[in-house]
Amino acid sequence: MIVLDSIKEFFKKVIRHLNVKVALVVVVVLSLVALFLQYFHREDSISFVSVAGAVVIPFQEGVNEIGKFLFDRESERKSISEANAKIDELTKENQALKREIDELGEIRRENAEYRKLLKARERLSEYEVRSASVIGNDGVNIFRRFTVNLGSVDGIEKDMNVINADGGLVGLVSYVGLNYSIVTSIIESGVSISAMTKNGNANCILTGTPTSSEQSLLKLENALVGVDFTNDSTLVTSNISDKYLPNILVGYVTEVTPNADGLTQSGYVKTAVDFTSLKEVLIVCGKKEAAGE
Amino acid sequence: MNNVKRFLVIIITIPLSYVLQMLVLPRIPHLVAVPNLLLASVISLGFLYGRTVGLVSGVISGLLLDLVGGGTPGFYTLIFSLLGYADGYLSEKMESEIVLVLIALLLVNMIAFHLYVFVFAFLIGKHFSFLPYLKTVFLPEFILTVLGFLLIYGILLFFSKRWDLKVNKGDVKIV
Repeated sequence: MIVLDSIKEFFKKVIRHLNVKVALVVVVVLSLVALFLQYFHREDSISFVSVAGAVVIPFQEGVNEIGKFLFDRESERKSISEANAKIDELTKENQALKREIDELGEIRRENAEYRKLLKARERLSEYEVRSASVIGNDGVNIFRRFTVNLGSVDGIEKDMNVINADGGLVGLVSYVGLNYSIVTSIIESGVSISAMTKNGNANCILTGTPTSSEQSLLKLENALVGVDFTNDSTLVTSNISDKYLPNILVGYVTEVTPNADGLTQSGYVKTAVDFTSLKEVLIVCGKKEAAGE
Repeated sequence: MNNVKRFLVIIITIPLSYVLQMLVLPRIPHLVAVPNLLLASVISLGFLYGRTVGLVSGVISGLLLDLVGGGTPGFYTLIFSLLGYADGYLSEKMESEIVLVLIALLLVNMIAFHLYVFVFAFLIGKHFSFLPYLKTVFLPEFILTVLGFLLIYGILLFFSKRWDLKVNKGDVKIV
C-alpha cells in the first residue's frame, strides 16, 4: 500500500511539474533526432516501425474491409453520362486497335524475335505470384509508396517485383515487416528503370518524376536518336536491369523529342498501371539474381 | 475529471479522423482530394482546449501517421505537435470567435504544413515544382479541409458544452 501511495505521489508530482513548453521541446527534439537518424541511415532506422505495424495493421485491414463494403458497391453504379464517355473512349480505342491490326502483318515477320520474348515470359511465370491487398499509403493521394498486407511471414523479401493484375510493373518491395511490407512505386521520384522496346531493339532509362505522377508519366532518357518509338511504343523492363525481372510491361511512349546533342532523344512514357487507384497487387516471389541468364 | 474527459475527446477524435481520412474517404468515387482531417482535428482541439491538448493531439496524430503510413518516423509528429501547440497558444491569447478568422487560421496552418512537406521533400532530394503542387494538391485539399474543419469544430464544440468541458471559446459567430 505504501509503495502504491508513493508511486501515486510521484506521478502527481511529475504531472504538477510537467510544463507544456518542456514537453513541446522534448517532442520536437525527439522527432528531430528520429529525422536525422533516418536521414543518415536511410535503410535501418525504419526498423522500429515494425512494432507499431504489428499492432495497427490488423486493425487497419478490418477497417479497410468496412470501407470496401460501404463504397465499392456505390462505385459500381455509374451514371449514364459516364457510360457514354466510356463508349466514346472505347470507339477511339477501337479505331486505334484497327490501326494496330494493320500493323500486324509487319509484326508477323518479327515472329522469331517474339518467340524469344515468349520464352522470357514463361520464365517469369515460373515464379510464384502472390496476391496482396493495398492497406494504406504514405498520406498523399498518389500511391508513391504504399503498404500491402503480406510480410516476411508470408515469404516476402526486399526487392521483389510488384505487378498489377494486368501484368504492368508497379514497383519494388522496399521494406518488409512481419506481416506487412512497403512497396515503392516506379513513379516515386528518383526511381529509375532500365527499359527496352518490346522487341528488344532499343534500350533506354525511365525515371519517376514527381510533377507528373498524377498522370502516371515517367521520363524517358538515353534512347538513341535512330529508334522509332511511334511504331514500337510498348516498353518492357530490360535484361540488363539489376533489380527488375526482364520483360515486364512498364508503359507506352507518348512523346519523344530529339536532344540538342543530336545523339539521343528523350520524352515521356505513360505507365501501364494507374497509380491513383491501387487496391490489389501481385508480388512476384523471385528476385533478379535467381532469374539467371 | 476535466482532464480525463479531454483525453477521452482526443482519443476518440484523432483515430476517427485517421480512419476517415486514410481508409474511408479515399474510397469515395469522384472525390478530387482527401481532406486533411487529422490537421483539422488537431487545430480544432488546440483552439478549443488550449496548448496542452493541442500538443498531445498533435503528437498522437503525428505518431499515427508516421508509424502506420510507412513514411519517415518523426516527420509528421514534428509538424503536427508544433502546429497543435501554436494553435493552442494562439487561442489562449486571442479572443476572436469568428468563423472567418478560424478559416484564415486554418489556411495559415495548412500553408505551414505544406511548406514543411515541400521543404522537407526538397531536402531529401525530391523536387516538386511549386505551381502544379499548389494547383493539384493544395487547393482541392484546402477546400475540402475547410468543410471537414467546420464539421469537426462544430461537433467538438457541441459535445464540450454538453459535457461541461471548459473551452476557451464561447458561441461561434459567422462574421
